[in-house]
Amino acid sequence: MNIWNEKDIVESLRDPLRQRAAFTQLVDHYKEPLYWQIRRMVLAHDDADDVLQNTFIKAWTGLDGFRGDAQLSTWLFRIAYNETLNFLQRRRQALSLDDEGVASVAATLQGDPYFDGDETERQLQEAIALLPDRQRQVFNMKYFDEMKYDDMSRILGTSVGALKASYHHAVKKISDFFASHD
Amino acid sequence: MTEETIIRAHDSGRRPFTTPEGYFEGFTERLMQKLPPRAEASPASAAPAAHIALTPARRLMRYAAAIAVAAACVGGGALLLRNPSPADTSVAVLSDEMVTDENIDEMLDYEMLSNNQIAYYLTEAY
Repeated sequence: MNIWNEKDIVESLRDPLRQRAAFTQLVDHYKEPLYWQIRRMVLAHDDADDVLQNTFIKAWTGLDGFRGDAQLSTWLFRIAYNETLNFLQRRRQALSLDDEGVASVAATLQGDPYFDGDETERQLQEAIALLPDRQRQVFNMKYFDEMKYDDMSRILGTSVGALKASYHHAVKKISDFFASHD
Repeated sequence: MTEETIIRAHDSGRRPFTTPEGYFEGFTERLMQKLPPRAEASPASAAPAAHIALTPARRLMRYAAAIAVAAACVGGGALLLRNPSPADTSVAVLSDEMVTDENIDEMLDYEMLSNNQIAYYLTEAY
């Protein structure tokens, strides 16, 4: 098993002779955290798998665009975030829906063999799915991943103040959802 | 009860999503097979240019050639200054009317001035 050293990986990614091996290490290191970030947004496993693959392919083809002034994780999570938003937008257009409603979330979760949540867990996912995409991403990063606002700010390209406000609104909406369903 | 506590009360704390068995183990290999080839490095960047070392004799010949060229320039200039003739047209005198936008490039090419020299002459430093 290779020991992760970001500086070495960045240098190897710039060397045509070593970049493929370095990229393999990169994929190994980040595939799981990126997958879970994507999965919480798109919900179904097959969709998450597609978006994750696209994320790494984009990173590979855009390797020259990584100048090393940001961390690899920030760069990758940002690509994943953009790929996820693009995917959700395309899916919405394909479904001809202005907003993804609770009904489609329930259908997605019900049709996914890789969701084994109970009624309460399904309800929480439905409440989260009602949030606008960007607000949902903020909520997931803060609530589930316990990410710092500074890190989120670098990935999402939004100020810390705006992120705090966004999280506060998200929490309020989800608690209102439960209040109206209990 | 705060709003976040209300959410925690509805959260089992476990992740309800799962993946197919062996999904993460096989992911890297599957992905690497799908990656498009990247552009190869150019030969110039892949192999550094060969450095040709000058022998002392070659270096001496190079200095001699440089001195000969400098001497020819100085001698030619001195001859020209000593015999200023109105009929001598080897040095063109340009009037403002002769210098137009259309022919300025041609003239500058003829004068064989470098871009740095042109820039120098166009500035206040001149």
